[in-house]
Amino acid sequence: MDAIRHFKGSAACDLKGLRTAAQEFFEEGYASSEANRTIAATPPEHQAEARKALLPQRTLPDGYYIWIAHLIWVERVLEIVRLDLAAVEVEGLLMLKQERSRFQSAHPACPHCGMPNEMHALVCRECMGEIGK
Amino acid sequence: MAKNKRTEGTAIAAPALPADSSQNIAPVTAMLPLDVPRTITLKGAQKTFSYHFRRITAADWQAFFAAIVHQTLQRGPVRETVYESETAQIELVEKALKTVEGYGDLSGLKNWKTALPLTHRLSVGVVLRNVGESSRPRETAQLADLVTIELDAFWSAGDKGKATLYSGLVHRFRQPSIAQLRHFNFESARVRVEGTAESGITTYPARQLVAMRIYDELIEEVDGYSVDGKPLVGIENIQREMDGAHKAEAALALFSQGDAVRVQ
Repeated sequence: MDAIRHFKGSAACDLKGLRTAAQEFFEEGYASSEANRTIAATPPEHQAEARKALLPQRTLPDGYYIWIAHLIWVERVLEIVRLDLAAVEVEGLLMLKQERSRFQSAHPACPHCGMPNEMHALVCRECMGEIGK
Repeated sequence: MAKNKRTEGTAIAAPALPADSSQNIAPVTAMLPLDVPRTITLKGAQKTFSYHFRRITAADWQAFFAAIVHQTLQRGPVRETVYESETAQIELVEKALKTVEGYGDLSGLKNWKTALPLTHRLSVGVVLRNVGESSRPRETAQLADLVTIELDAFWSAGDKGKATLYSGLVHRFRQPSIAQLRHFNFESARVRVEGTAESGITTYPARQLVAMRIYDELIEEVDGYSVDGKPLVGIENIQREMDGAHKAEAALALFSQGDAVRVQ
């Protein structure tokens, strides 16, 4: 990751920054189910602190994640209907697909519940089912 | 039709001025007169000030929305949201203001508009864009060919500058297509970024601008507005005559439909 670089312009046009944001977005989603369970069991006054400690920190301005969220919305809609897209959306979707594949390779799905796990996990962190047998 | 409720007051309580204690609200039946030049009256402790405006055009509202600054700033661990609309309000007031009363002789001033008290210009600017989605609960469960949005707005017109609260101004839209929804999301997500994680700025686009355009594409009918003393009817007439701030608010409310539901 290249968090100290400086960019100025439309987030949609900065593919390098978007790639980092997509990686962080997937990591965030991966950590969220476990983190949310812990946060829910934490007293309300300590929840903000717990959230900060348990969820990965974002390293880019908000604008990148807003565009990633838009791309994910477009991706889902495209499964149902045809849409005319702008070039920046097409480029973004291709990048998103690459990053998702990369993330899925590093986090294989549990054969029982489908949740992603660490590469060499023996037991699913979600359903506790055995993996790799 | 025409079930909107109107309430009338004698003046807008401007933030910088004492509120008028005689502001009794009473129901009236008039429609919001879009074509009558607006007059806004501020009541001070001893004096009354009147601001007379020309009609505010779509271009004025576009410039206004484009001038609003909406950003999030990241400064190390501190995240700050900036929403600055005062400059845009002052610009709008100065652009559309025709005359004022209550300030004495202005003929000797080089630029009388900029000489007006800043707090007064700001207060008047707040009134000019005083429109929002109606506080009445939306009937989200009712399925229909047209989507109904209701707005509430303060509007003052005529020489006396009487401010009237128009409640339940109706805008009926055709259902947005997926392409229009995508267009709205696309424009809303086209943020500009600058800097790094430790010191970054995200600048949000003015969603009202795209909302105004989509309003014209989807509007079917309105209720509670008049032009030339007659109810505003016909799509082309609505597109041409409707106030830009009302267009933006109604279309933004259209795209936030369904926010109030959650899975039990």
